[in-house]
Amino acid sequence: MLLNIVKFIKNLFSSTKLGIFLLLVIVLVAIAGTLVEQGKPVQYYYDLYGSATAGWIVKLSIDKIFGSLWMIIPTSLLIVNLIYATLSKLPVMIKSVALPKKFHHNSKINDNVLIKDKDIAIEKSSTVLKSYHYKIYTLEDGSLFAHKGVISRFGAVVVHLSILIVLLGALLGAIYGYKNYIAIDSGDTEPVPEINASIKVDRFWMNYWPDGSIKQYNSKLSIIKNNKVVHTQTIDVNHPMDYAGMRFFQAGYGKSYDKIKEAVMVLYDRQKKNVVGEPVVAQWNKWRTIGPYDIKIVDFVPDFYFDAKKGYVTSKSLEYNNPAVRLQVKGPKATPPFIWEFLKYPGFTLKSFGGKDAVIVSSITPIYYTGLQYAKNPGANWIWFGSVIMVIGFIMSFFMYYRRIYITVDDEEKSLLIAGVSYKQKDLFAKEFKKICNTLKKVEEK
Amino acid sequence: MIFSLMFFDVAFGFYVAAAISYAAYSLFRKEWIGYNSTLLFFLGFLSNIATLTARTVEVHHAPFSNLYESMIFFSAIVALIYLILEFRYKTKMFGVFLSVFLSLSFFVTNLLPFRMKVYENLNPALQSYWLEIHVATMFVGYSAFAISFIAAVLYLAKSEWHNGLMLKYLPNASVLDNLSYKSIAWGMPFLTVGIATGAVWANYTWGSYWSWDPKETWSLITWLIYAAYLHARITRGWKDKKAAILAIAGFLSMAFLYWGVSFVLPGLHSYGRA
Repeated sequence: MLLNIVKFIKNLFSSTKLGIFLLLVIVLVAIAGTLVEQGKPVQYYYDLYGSATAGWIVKLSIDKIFGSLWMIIPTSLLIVNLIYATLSKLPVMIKSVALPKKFHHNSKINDNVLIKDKDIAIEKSSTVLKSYHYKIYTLEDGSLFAHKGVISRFGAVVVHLSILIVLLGALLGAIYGYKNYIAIDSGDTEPVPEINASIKVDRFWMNYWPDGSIKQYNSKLSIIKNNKVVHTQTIDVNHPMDYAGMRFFQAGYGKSYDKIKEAVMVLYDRQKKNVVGEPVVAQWNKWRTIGPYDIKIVDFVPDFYFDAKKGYVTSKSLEYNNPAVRLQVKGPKATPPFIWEFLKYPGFTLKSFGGKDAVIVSSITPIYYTGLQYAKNPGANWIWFGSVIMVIGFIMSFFMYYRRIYITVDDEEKSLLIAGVSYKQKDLFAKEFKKICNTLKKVEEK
Repeated sequence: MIFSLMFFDVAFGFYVAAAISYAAYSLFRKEWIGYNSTLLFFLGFLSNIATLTARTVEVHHAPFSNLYESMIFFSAIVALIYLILEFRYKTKMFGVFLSVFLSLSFFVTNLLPFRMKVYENLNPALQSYWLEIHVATMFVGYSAFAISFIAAVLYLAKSEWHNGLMLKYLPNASVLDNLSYKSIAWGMPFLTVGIATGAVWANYTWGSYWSWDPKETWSLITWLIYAAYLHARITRGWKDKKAAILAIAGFLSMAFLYWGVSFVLPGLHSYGRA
């Protein structure tokens, strides 16, 4: 009873049918994974599918299907099946390319060649087969045996091995892989603890196509360690930077939401209702003289919002919906030392400085931040290696084939009996066999 | 732009003419019609290549950065494989199916939005030599699978109805089965290299070689179905019809990978539409 169960399990796991079944199960799971969007917040599924269906989706982890048991169980079973089936078929494979004891009488492809002298004939056939790149052996019964393409018999083994290597790489990546994201304003320096150093974004800029669409995003980065620049490199979307085992990618960009580069402003006379003097450019956090005043940009919000209850200014969003700069003002009769000025509403809060004066902010130059993704994939090289091995395995099993040829002298010593066997590419082998026999005939006629 | 659009129409016209001519050849079996069919098909192939060449000159990058360009590229490879097969197998009987297939693919390509037909700038992620390697290998795979699909459908038809309809002019079932297998044997390594180079590229651009984006997932699905096909072919009871059905399923999955994912499902590849 117990033995039967063991036998059943052994047979099951060495069967190709189980392999096909598991492959198709993984196909179905993967299809489900593309039909239901993955990794969204629970609310998304409730809105889209209704509470009953969404409940099941979440309960059965359909929303995270690729890391769930739906994927892990059939994949694990497939790995067991793959290893077991490969190992159990390996001895058969080795045996199929082993040297036979004697001439093979019941081969499917046969031919005869008339000969004059038996020893010379065998010797001549050996030369002919060598010219076709066969490996030649003399068997115990004195007949000739030749075969070619031995490694093609192990193509499938190599492909299976390569799949294990790829999966090993994926596993290493899942366990030891690391990924993070940091946004740094152009000109700023931020610590990156994973590399035990800080990154300074010297500059972020974009290149454009003639029609104005974006051609490339670039960031010039400096790695700073102990207040010293140890490495400088410019990265773009297809050229990441490698440092201390971590790879840094240009992954995003945007306008900074708490800082600007500079602003253009002008003095306004409220009584005469006209501007006074030339507009001036004020840098972030630097004093600038405008008319009789000194002003400094001290704060910025992209989407102004005044929280009346708590009594402070904040930003409603990260979008530039209602950008406002906060100015610090020094000068004759400058009553409020700090004022907010709105870019979109230049007439909205015209605070008076000296009774009649006001400042209008006419434009701002934003600072861009660059979004850096950084990651390490210790399994990646295993995956590339596995892929190369896999392609080699495919070439071995699809574009090479194993064939064997037996040659012996018949009992009357008047002709050569030639027999050929191939398991795959029978049409190609039939052609090659015919060619070889014709060559043998020609050689014998001479 | 004008030359590639013009050659496109010319190629389309030749493929349609070849389809009609091959059909006439299948009916009347006249040698000169057969000769004409091959000539028309070959002219279609040449115009197809001319379309690609003109496009490359016009847009200054390899002609497969969007769905429109890649369809023309795909058609050219399918046509080339067919011409090799016609020469090797000395049979014109696939001709009618192939030229109908190519006419249809030109027809749907022509339905694509105009913005794809005119010049589109490459977005930053696509400006990489990996674009050429990844997409070219993928499309050789796609083309081989298209051939295997046609062979598998004809194989099923032949083994179902034997010599009914016009099937008696087709090569016998085992030749069709072998053709289907050999195309997949070509397609599989190319698909594998295509997926692997895509992963290398993604790893180099986004910092992750696999993110289960629908295009990636469907490429894996296609790969798995063809893996099942290869195993079915060496399994008793699965060898014939079931293997052919898997070859057809593999192609449908590939067609969805190619067209469906770009239009139906969202993801990283949606901008590329390649």
